[in-house]
Amino acid sequence: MILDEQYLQWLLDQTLAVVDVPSGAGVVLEGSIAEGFGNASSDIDLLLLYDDEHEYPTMPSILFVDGRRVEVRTRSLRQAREQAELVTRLASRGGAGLPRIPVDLLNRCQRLSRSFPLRGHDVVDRAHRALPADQLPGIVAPWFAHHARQAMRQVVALDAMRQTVEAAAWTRIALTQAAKAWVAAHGETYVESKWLSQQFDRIGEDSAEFAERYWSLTRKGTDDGTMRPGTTQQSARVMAAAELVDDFGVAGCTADSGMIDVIGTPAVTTWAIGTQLHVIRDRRDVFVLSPQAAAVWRSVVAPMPLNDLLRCGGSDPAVVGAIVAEFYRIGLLRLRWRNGAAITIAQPYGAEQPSTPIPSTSLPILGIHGAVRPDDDPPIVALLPLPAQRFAAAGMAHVWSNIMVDNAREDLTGAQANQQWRVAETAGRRMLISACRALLSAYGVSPLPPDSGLIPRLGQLRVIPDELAKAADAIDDSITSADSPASVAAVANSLDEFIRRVREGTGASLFPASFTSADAWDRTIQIGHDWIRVGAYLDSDFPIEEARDVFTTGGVQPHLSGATDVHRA
Amino acid sequence: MTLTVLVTGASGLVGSEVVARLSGAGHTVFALMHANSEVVRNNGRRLKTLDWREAAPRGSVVRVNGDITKPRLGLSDHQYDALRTVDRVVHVAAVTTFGLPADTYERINIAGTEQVLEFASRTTSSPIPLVHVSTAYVCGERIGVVGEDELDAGQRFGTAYERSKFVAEQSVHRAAGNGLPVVVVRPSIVVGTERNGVIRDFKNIYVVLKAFTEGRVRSVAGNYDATLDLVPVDYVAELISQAVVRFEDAVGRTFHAVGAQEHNLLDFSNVLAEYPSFHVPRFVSPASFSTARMPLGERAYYERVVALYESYFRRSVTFDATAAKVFMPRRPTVRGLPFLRRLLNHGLRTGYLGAPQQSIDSVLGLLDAREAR
Repeated sequence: MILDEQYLQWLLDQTLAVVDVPSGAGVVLEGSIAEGFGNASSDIDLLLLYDDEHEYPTMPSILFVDGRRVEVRTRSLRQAREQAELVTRLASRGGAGLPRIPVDLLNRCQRLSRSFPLRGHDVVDRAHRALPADQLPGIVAPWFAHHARQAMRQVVALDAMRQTVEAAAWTRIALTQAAKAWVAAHGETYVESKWLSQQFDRIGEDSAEFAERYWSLTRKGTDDGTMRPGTTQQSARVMAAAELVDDFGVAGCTADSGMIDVIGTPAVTTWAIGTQLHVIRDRRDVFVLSPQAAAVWRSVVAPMPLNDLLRCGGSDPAVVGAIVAEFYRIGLLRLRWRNGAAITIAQPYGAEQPSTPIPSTSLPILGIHGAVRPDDDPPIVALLPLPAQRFAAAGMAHVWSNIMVDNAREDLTGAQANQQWRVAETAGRRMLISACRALLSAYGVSPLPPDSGLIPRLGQLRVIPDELAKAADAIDDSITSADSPASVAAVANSLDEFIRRVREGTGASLFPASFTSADAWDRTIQIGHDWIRVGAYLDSDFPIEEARDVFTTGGVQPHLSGATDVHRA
Repeated sequence: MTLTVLVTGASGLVGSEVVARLSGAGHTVFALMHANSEVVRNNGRRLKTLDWREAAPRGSVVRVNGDITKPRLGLSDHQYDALRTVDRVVHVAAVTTFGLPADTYERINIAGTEQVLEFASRTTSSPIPLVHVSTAYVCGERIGVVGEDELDAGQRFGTAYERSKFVAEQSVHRAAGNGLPVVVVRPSIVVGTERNGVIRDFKNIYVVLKAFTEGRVRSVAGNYDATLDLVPVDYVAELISQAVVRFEDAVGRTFHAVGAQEHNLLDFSNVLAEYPSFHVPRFVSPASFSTARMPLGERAYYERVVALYESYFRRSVTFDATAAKVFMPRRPTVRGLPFLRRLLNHGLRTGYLGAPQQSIDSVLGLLDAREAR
């Protein structure tokens, strides 16, 4: 140790002067210094062992003694025993148990097992017997080997997907886990990676070649993903890393992406709305796919070899690779080593996949053809900023409102022709309200405010263009007083212009003129059914019962008999 | 006690599994089928069979070349008389493909059943106990709960197939009234095995699923709450075999051989969406559905494939299976989406689903060839 026992006892005395410790408690030094590592600025890690059954928190108290940071933790013997038993039991189950040992738990047990007793030797001995230090290599080495194997498989996959930078980062992780497995098998069981160089050194000459290869391959190099001659899927650096991982004793992760299959993910579903493809994760997150991503996604017939998917459609492997990698990152599909379990992302202290991209900030959020994809620098997969159920409900309301706009416009035309001004007022107001509903639902507002609150709400939302809100307000005022052919025609013109701008702003300019031809009505109904299909999956709210009727009865219209074309003079 | 059993339609999907179960249990099976047919089990394994002989060892399967549409089952007088000594007859033979000319159903399903009834009824001694395999869809387009003891409720039929099976079952009941001991088993839509979805022949509902998932047909007339009952082939074969062996416990009864729970069209829509490459059809209310404005290719598929099954997509029917449950308590247990996934996954594993798309012409050509046969 870099500190002698006398100094440590003095530090302990100073600590105990401010920490209330019952008599009979054991005290150990654990961590870097106890392991024989450390330097002048290393923390002093003290663990108080109480001979009782209590559950003590893991949070340490932190003191500063003689310019050193001293961390004091507390554990009961019962806690120490139970933690050791859990680690031992899970480790004995091999591949089924090792992934379930959290790194914190392993670290805690390893540190106690290899700790240096300072007080209460009897209590400390009993704690040490729960997990004798000579058993640690048999637990720590396979634990690191498991993580190394998963990380290296991840490297092989990412490399095949041409994700060079990410593959390089995972290569370092895989190599470090494999090196830690190797040193642990040689008795160096300290869990954290920071003293790996000293662990290599203490093993002696046997480690020199391994250490040299390790440091060489983990150094940030100029890996450009160049393929090794004779191979098409793996870069030279990955091949070398896989060889070293294997030499470290970690089998089952050769640099061969032919060993990797693509498998599906539960609760990931695919929904076409119009021509746009959406993928819903866990009934919660909605992703909209770029056309290229949609083509790749449609090629997934899981389980299938990863290499087959990367070759799909004869497209550029780098382009397809980037798309598949994104699907993988966000958990739309998973990878499996041939005849094995799914590859798990097992970086100690690292976040687990799947990850989630930053939600799209495109506004409006949706239109009749589903999610609106960002125009500038469109991502492969864009996450919508609203939950799936609301997306479907808002979409159905949007389509339905557009249908109602057309319906009301027909009524307005009829009322104008017959000089029925009060009928025209009602129809015009319905047209305005429906357009406002279409507008708000395109921004993801669901449920919609009551009709009385729609127009005021437009003015409150900064994302709605101010001139639209003002136009709605002005039309609302003018409808009531319109009682002549000229004034009603003026209101109708204002409404048409308002609706044109609403549809232009929500990508519905091409909304089929649903009440003018049977073909257009068919297209409207088809779009409605696309939304219903996803709405039914998510059990989303229909906009109103009348909408449900129209969609679920096939769209028999109020003023047309079935879907028959009516030609006007 | 070991039995000798004549099984018609022995080379068919259900028939071959019945033959395998009966012979596996030590019974001697006379397998009536067309010349050169084989008995291939649902898993693709061929059953060992013997050429025609009057007496055969226990557990053996004897091939009998015959034709139920012909007088005396197309057998020689000697064979006909010799076979009338069997202990049981299982009548599975039927044409189940939809969309064939009406006289095909008349000839095979109705007249063929009459021939079998004559065979079983007119013996010099007592009649031969008969297990008649019908279909749960003799209920036609009835909605609601259909009982096992119900047959004629004035129902309308969605297909000529259903009507033919209804008429055949009426004949069976008449024969029963005249003293023929009968058990009727009514499977619903027979699909792959419960455990892994394996099926020998991708027919009927599978053809529709293929058209849907490949996006050949994007819209279909149907209601999300319409129900389809899918029953695993292994359960159907087991129930029929049990009816043969435990005939005395079953005589006079009708059993609905149905799945653990019917599926509605929303189940189909939701499960298809779990497969990235699959297209999910829109179910449009039949009230105003029309193929008139469909693209030409889609319309061809619709009218030649999907339209045959259209009536199934608007019915909401539940088959009561109380008598079947009492007779054979072991029932299918996998229900809902997990069962549909097993069926679809098998289709994917074998390449039937998710395979490279064939041209429309080639598929329609195959259909024409089938009809010509």
